[in-house]
Amino acid sequence: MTYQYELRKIFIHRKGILIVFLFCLLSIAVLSITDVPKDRPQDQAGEEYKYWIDLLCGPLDTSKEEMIQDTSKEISDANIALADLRNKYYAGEISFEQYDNQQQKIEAVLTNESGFNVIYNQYRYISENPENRYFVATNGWSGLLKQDISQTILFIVTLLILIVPIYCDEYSSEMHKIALSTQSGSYCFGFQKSFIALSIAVLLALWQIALKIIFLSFRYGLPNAEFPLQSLPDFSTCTKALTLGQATFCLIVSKVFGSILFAAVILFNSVCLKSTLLTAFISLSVGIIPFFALRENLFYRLPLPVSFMLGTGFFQGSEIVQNELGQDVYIFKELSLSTVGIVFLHAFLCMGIFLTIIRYKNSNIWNRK
Amino acid sequence: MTLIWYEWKKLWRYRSLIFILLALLLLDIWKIYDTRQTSSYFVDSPEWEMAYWELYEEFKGEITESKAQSLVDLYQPIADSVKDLTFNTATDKNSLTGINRFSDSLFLSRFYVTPMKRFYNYENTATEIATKAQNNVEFFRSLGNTYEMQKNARIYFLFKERKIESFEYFESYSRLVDHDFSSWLILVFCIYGLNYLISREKESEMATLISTTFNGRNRTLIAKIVVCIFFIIFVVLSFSLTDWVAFLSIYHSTEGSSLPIYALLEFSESPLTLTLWQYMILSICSKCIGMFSIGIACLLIAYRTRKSLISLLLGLLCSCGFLFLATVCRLSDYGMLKVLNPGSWLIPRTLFRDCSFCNIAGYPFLLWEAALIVATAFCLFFTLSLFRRNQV
Repeated sequence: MTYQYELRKIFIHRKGILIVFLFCLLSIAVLSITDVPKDRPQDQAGEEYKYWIDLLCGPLDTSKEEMIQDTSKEISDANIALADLRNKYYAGEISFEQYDNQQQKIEAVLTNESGFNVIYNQYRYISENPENRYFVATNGWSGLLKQDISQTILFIVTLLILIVPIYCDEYSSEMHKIALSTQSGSYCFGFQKSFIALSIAVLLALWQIALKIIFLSFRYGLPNAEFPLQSLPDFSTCTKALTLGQATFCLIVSKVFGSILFAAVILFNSVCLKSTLLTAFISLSVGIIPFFALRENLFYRLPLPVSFMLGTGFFQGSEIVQNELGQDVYIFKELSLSTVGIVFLHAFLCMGIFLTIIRYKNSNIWNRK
Repeated sequence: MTLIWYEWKKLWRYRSLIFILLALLLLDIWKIYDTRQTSSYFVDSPEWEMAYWELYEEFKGEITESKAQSLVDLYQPIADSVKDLTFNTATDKNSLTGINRFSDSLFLSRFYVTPMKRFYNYENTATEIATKAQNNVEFFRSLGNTYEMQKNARIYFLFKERKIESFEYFESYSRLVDHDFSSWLILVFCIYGLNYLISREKESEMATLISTTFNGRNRTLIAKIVVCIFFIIFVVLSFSLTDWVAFLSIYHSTEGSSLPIYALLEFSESPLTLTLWQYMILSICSKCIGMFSIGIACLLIAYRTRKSLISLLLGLLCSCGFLFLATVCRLSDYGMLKVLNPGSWLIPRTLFRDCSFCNIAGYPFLLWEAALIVATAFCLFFTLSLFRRNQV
């Protein structure tokens, strides 16, 4: 019964429904505005690329390699022949009928040329390490697995608007003293409110991911989930043996975990600080500032809510550049599985502590020893 | 007066403000330190840094023929020996930097030869620009185009007697000028602080009570606006001074403050003829102006919304939007985008970096002059709407 009250308070009295609706609209808008294909030529080649990828999809083998080499030769020959033919025609050596006839023959070979150029680049990338790099349409998957800060900021702000008032409104009107002195006050305050807050966070996060998956599968398609992650050039140096589908699953888990953690941080702040402005500001700072202040390398090694919400860095490979003196400099160092585990564990511990403190602080004040 | 003092005291009664300010200052310092660790000129090798300061004593100060000659004498043989890329790559302890001759040549060319050449040639470049502008004045006079004529006359006066006389270490200043992170922190903190000015009273329904008293309407509002100005000046000063001190101490050098601003490569076409320390003071003023024009808009938002949470988030979103736009448009050619955006005052180099003009009513205005007009209009408009809003 009290669940109903609480939900009604959040969604109807404080117009939460409106905010959730706005969030849904805005996340669609942001998604379509910020969507840029990672591999633009692949997107532009469209049908031509589709023809080739349907033909070659999967791991590289000798027959495919031969076919690519042959086609490459055929296309370059055809280009030369075409130029030759034009020269002859302009020089007046052949008549228009002959020219037209031969040109049509040659252009039949060249029909899928721009798609082939994209596939050829992909072939060169794959042949560096054919074991774990497969032919796959990359744009959808790159879009899904990339670091998406604009969506995350939108998510953080929405969560703040929905969750901060859950406790802070009661504190600002000193209602908590009365509420806690009732029979089910402690249960309602300590457990129910945080449960509702955390489930809102999870639902919103799931909605955002589901939206993204649907959008990308319509826009580019998300085929061949069983292919290795390294097929995407962004993750070429990753040493973890994941398939695309598994990586997506990990990303979802990480995002949901991050949003639960962030919701717990907001609740913890509001229980400890008891002031709306302060809670909102500190939670926002904890949520967003690390992304801008820290370098990626450190950023993913700390148990921060926003690093889990972004999640990409956990399975990104190392990125090394050489400075002018020829020394290697790490821009990003890959996180080993154990490091990821430790970061998760720390975050989990923090979350446990937060939730325990929230529960403790809201135990029935007249019964507390 | 008492009202102002009272509002000011009330604002700082929130102890959390002080703690957050300190935390953000620490974050800023850490960020500066981090930038130094990752992208300082000397980050690749400490040997370069040692070699730099060894040579520095010899070459610093006024650029003279003899210094230039001795630098050429030092550099030319090394540059010749690595020109055909057949030098010995083994570590050579006797070389200048203690690494090898290639490193020597790279080091000398980057830290001494190139900047000194640029400084030395700057006078010629500036004179060239001034002469061209002078010719243009004549040309446009003959065409009867007064706007272009006035514009070129201004360029002539700005560039005519420019000269970089001395060579100094300037990395710390060039980094300081590029440091935008503190602007974000100033923005975020100010918006947060300004919300306290108004929201608390609204939350406890005190605002309705206050506005029924004699002093409670326009006088309180004036007091609040004055406190808002003081608060912004205080915050901007504390961040900017921290930046300044932190940069000079983290880069271990106070050199370079008396170089003219156009000695920095980015500012070589700047309309300003200030020295670097004067520019730093100018940038503090500029940040105050930018922050005030955004802050006053946020005050209006805080007055208009009922919930303090919404007013905080809305204010933050709008102002971060302004600053984000300013960052995006910083390098664009559309002067109007920079002029119309109060956020570009918070990143001062947007306005002071290049010598472009805006045509306002047929007169050529420099970017920052035009932006000043816009910012004044912006502030006036929002102040007036605040007063209108305050009528009961």
